[in-house]
Amino acid sequence: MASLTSPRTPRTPRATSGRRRSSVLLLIGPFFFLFAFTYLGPILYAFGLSLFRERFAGIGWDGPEKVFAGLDNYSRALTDTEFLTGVGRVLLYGLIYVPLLIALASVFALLLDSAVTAFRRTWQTVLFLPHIVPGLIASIVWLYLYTPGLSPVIDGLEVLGWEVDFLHGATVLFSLVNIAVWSNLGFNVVLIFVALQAIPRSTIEAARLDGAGEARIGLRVKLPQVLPAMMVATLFTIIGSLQLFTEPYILQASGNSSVSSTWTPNMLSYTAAFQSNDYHYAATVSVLVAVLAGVLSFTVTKISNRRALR
Amino acid sequence: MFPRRCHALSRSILTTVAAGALLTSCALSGGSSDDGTTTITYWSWTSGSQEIVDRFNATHDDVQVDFQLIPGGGDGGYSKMFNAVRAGKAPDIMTVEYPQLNSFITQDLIQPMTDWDVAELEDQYPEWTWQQISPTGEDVYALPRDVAPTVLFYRADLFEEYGLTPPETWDDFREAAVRVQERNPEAQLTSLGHNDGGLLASLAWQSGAEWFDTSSGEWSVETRDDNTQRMAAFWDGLINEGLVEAEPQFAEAHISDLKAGRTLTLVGAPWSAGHLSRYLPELAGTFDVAPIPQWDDEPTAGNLGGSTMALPVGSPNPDAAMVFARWASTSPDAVAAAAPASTAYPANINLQDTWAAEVSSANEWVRGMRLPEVTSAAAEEINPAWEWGPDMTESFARLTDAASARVGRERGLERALTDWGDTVIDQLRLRGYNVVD
Amino acid sequence: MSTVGTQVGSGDRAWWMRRSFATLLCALAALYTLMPLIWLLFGVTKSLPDLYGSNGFAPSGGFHVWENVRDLFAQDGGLYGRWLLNTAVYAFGGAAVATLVSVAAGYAFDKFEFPGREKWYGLVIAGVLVPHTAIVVPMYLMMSEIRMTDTMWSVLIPVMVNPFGVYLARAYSSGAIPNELLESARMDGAGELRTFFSVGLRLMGPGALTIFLFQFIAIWNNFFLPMVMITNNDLFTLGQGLFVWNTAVDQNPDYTRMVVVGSAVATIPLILLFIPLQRRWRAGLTEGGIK
Repeated sequence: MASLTSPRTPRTPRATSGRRRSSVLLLIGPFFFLFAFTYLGPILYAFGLSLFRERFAGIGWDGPEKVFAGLDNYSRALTDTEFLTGVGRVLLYGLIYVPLLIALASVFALLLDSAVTAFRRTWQTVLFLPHIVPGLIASIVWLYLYTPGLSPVIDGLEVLGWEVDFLHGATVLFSLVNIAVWSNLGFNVVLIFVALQAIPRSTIEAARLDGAGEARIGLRVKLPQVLPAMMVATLFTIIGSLQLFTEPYILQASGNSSVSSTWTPNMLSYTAAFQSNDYHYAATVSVLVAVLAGVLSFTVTKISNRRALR
Repeated sequence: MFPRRCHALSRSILTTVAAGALLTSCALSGGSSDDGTTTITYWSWTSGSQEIVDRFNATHDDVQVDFQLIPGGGDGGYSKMFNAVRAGKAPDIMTVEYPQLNSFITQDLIQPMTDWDVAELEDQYPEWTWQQISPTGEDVYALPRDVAPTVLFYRADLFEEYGLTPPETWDDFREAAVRVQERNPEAQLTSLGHNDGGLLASLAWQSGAEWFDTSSGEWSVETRDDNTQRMAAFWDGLINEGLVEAEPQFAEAHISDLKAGRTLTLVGAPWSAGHLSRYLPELAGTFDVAPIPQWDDEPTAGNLGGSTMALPVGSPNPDAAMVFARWASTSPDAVAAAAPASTAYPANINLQDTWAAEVSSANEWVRGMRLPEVTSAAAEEINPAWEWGPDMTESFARLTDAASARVGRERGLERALTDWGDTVIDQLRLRGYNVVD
Repeated sequence: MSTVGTQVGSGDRAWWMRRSFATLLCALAALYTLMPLIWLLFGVTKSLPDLYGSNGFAPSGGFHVWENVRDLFAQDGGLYGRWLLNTAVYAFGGAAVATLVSVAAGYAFDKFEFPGREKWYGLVIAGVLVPHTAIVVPMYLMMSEIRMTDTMWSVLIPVMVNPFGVYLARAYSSGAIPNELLESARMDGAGELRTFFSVGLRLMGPGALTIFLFQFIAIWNNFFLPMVMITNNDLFTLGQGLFVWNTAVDQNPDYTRMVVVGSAVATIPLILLFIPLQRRWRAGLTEGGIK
């Protein structure tokens, strides 16, 4: 699985007859037709849009005029502090969120895999539940738990003498990380757990006979074996964190947080399209995000492939 | 075995797809029917809309209105309209507030109403509203429904208990804020809805600011002027000294403070009474209303909200839509119908007496308040020179961002407003507008 | 003897210590996971004043579940039921088509040699690597140009594509379908398409279920796409509807109750439905080679 890009060895090398070729076309045709319509088309269309802009003249009552802009929109984006801070925020968010989630997921996968832990099946089911809760609902519920006057959590912390404002300042980034960890922990635990279960028991027994303790077995014997699964989990988590929209958007829409309407690049693109009516800039930001994300996740895949081969 | 299951699968897909197509076509029904009645859709979120539509439908045969409740403008309503008009799925008629009209006009999303002889209505409306619906000075782009002069709602019972009288000037207001805290450390005179761009604009408007101006033939944007700055410095002072809290208006904390008598006043407009009555039904009889506190000797008011009816580009039945729009903004019947649900003050001068009579008799909560007289006096005092920028949907979003980030800090509102002015200038230049240096 | 006994005893104690510690960690994680859900569960039982005024982690006077649910389905002319139906149409319809399309493509990638196969496959992988949200606004812009926004299709068509499903299907196909079986079907004179439907699909059943569940959850959880595409209340998804209600709270405070109850009603049945399916799903993951 970790070898996302490495081609498989063809198992059925066979000359393609005309009839077979048409069957192949019928089998992969629908996918690529839809793929072209929903991936390639929009990206190309957005790229096209990004080369133009709307110009208002004078006071603007005569409406906008569409003019060719070359790469102006791109230079605008790359000097736009909102876009750049947004990118920075997402990267910072990812730097906190991705390692935290993978570390937690690995720990709990090991715990669930280890005979030491009691009631393993129960924990597994419980931890998985948030995966089924839509991100929007998770955000709304956590928003309530973050809102002073509504939240029993804040009341509880105040009793302990800790006054915390979840929705403002630097804390808000951690509040968002928390929502994402809550939503995705269980899924990643399962990903790693499934891989752990596939390790031949004899390997573990051998380590045990050598006198290794449970923690040592977990870290030294089991984890290296599930590195590919952890890489996959990491890759998906990175892709997921680049999508950051729903959670900050809900906090922003509540009107009571320091999250602005252009807080992440996705939000900037949304705001440009739907609030500012600036389709060309929205398209530019989207293209940049898609390229940036594609490059980033491609790099991670390459690295993980190299690791997996070792 | 499996092939059959597969058939079942593809059949279920077909059914789903068909259901989808059906749902879509249902949603698109409307327009003229065989019996000569035209059914139009009306998008709005303002209170009283349903009542107005019901009355219209009961009294008209050739046109019937289907009212669709949409999210409040800044909460997604305008995005929805932009989307719909561009996708060719515009409603027949819709609510747009004064500030956002220019966004729709510059983007070619609403159409002039000139063909429907609306020019003849000009003398029925205050001069400033007519300027805002006809910013080019030629075409008329909307019909005003209500205006919203700023006024001060206050807890008359608690004012009496604390020995206060409604403050006449902002200096008095400040003294009262101190007095309230002396009498009850838990309470505050008011709170500032700092994330509401419209509220901040109305406060600046009342202070004599003119954020936007096109009289030179180019846009000028000014938030560093003395009038804006005295307003900002005043609220920064109150907030930093802990006399007033900055919090979103009508959010949960704000409501529970009003409910508990911990917040004593609300800077609002006539329509706010309707909001208050829905949130605080049990406090009927405890509120009264006074003119907004003054800066100078010359009494002035700002305008906070107010809406118009605009005709989107691509409106399927513009003639029928204009019949409804004209009725809703000029008929006493519309005012009477809306009165139990809405306390908004009609823009049409001919309807203002009807409103004064209806609003107190139809709304239990308002009875006994000085709402009619305070409102009609305040409506005369609105500074007519105020203009809105070319793209307030975007500009307000940025104002909210700037204020949320800064208010509460030292000179927070002041800095937020000057920064915002600079941002707006940059944005306008980027889009190609001519902006005065 | 006695020394051995103490050694076993202390080993025992250490084992119990470890056991308690490990179990305690899991219990804490479970508590953290359940906390918001418990809040939601209690929320369903509360009246509007209690939602604001009482402890969210405890029941409060009165049990308002039935009237809350009744009001939920009556609010705004029964829009909630409509949204529920729409979401089901998007999720079932989208996931069903996505699964069939992915399985067919994955099967073809695995079982056939054709020119440029790995180039095409590279395109699929590129699709996996680009986050979907980055495509949504461009997709809106394109669909708006051809006037397709604000239809059910504008949400359904995009969710019918899942490149990751193709990846999984290729893995399932190579793991579950022996080439010899295909050969013998071909010997019998079955056409390639028939072979796919009669042999391929049947053997890939469990894998297909995993892909279906993946996509189903992804669609059910998707907020951004419908949010961008749909403006007509009647075509909303649950998430969108709840969001709109949540932003309308400052016009009608009762929407708070509707949002809480609506969230619970949207969540709890799905959780109950999913628990039994969970094991199947995990089995599918193992088979897909995620290990």
